[in-house]
Amino acid sequence: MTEPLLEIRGAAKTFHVGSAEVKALKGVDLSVGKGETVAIVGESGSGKTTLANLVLGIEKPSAGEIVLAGRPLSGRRSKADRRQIGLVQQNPYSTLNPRKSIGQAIGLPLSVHNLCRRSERRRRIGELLEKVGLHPDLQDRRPLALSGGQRQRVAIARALATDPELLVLDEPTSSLDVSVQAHILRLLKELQEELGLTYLFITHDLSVVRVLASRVIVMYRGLVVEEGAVAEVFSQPRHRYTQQLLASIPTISAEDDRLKPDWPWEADVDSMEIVEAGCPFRPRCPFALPACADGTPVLAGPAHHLHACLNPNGAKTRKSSLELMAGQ
Amino acid sequence: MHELLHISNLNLTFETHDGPVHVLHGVDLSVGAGERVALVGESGSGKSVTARAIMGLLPDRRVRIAGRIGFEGADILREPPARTKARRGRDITMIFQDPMAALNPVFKIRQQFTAVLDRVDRRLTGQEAEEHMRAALRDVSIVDPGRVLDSYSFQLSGGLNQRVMIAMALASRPKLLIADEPGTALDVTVQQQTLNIMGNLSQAYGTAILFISHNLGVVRKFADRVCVMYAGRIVESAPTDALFADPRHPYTRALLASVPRLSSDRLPEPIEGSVPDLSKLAEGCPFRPRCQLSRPECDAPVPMRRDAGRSVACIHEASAA
Repeated sequence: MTEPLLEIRGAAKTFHVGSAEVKALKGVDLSVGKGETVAIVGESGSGKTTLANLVLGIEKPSAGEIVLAGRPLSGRRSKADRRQIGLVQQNPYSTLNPRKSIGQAIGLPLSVHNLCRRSERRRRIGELLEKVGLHPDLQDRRPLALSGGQRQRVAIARALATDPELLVLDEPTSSLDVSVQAHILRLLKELQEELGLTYLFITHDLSVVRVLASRVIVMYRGLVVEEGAVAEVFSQPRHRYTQQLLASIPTISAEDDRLKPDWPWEADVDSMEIVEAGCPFRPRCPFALPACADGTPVLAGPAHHLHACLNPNGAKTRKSSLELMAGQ
Repeated sequence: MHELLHISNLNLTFETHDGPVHVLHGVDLSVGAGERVALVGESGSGKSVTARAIMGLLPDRRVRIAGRIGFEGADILREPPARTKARRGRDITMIFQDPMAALNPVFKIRQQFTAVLDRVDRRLTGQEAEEHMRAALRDVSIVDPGRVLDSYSFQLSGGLNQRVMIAMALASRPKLLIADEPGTALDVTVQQQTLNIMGNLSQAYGTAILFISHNLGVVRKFADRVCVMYAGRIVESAPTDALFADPRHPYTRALLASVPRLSSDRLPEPIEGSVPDLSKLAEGCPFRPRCQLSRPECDAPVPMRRDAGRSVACIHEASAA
């Protein structure tokens, strides 16, 4: 890996809801090299968006720190710090103000950060639009006149307006049709090569991870359960949760089917139970061992592939309530 | 196979302030008893409108509809509305994309489920209804039906809500279940679980499913037959295995090429151009402006080529066959 651009050290976030505490992140370490794409995958409630919010400075960590280019970022970001990180969100229908023109949307970061003279502004916005494959004249239009794919390009242009080094991509293609998704993936790849951008790519869609990212972090209930090189994790998933995720990918060819791990769907449990200690996936895992209930899971293994599963290869250890019901 | 639903030459136009928009164009579709048929297509292709037309859920005003929607001999478009209404929720039921949005958050699951049962059989006593609901929830692998019935939708996980929806939709043992993007709003692992449950149960009850989805992978796993829609038309229809092994319409091929593969880290191929404006669509193949094989002949109306259980609306296919 090249020198790290972004380092996350022991990041934790606890939300207080009334008298209850919700531990959204329970201590995450992560390092993203310059020019690299790291994917963070996990389901809703895994903490992936909270992690992104800490990186962006939208939330303050309860513990730990965020380091950008060797400098720890404080909870209150200076303008200069904010310029370094751009954000592209999931739904381009709700992230662009329908009453503002495309030019106003892209121009806002330019004026907030005093990045260009008023006389230069139109030209600069046009330049940004061209960079994402749109016509410069589109700046006079409103979002309503644009398709979903075009809107997402505008959102990317806006994120690039401040010349950031790091882009946080939060499900950038999830709300788009597949044929449009392919366009956006291409664009992101091209921009990265052209501008040397670093991507923190947040998604629940593993098939997209394969084409965009070099490294992947799998999260479950606020903890990293597996991380490593994408090719490595996809071909030999170790943690049971990663295995289930990969087994869930809806594939379109027999060739792809063969790469999916087996998963005992018949033994599956849909549990919302949240456990304080031990492996967070334990309540849903058909392979859980008694030892899975103890302590905090620790990531172990070679540097290019770490995981925190105590029973990655063993046999099923218990029947699901479903199987028990069937046996009655 | 006994034919349950038979749609022929369905045309549908929305009257808008900017003029008519032709949303469906000569749609032919049939679903056999117990069969699972998928309608796939991108946003705006007309798949959800087709479902609504079958359910009789389209508004009367500003909609012009022509053709025939046959269901067990009856013509849904020509029968008295009361007949359609009586069928809805009993012989034909529907599951929607987001279970959280489909369930009402201010009523407990029990109240909503009771209302569903009321449509199925009015004569059920309270005790019978309760037993019926508990059994239906156990069928969708809910271990503690009592707790679920006592809950509001917001107290349950997305997966549990989806199972409740499945239990409600199958409570009347319908002949046809229309599933509109089921589970798309859920996490992948949960979506997989609920699809498994829905598949197993519908098979056990002999319920046919019209499965509407934009996700080709989900369709491949779930359907017996796939109809690909584009710009309000069915452009290709084939048994699932045949369609994925040998897609024939250029749009089907392009759509498959745009899906990221697990077996490759190559970027998927986007489809150039954009979906046509349905209010300005001319005769001929709607995919023509984006198609690499397009020829002047593509401007003429495209005949549907049928052979061996497959049909394709492409002149290239016709000349090759």
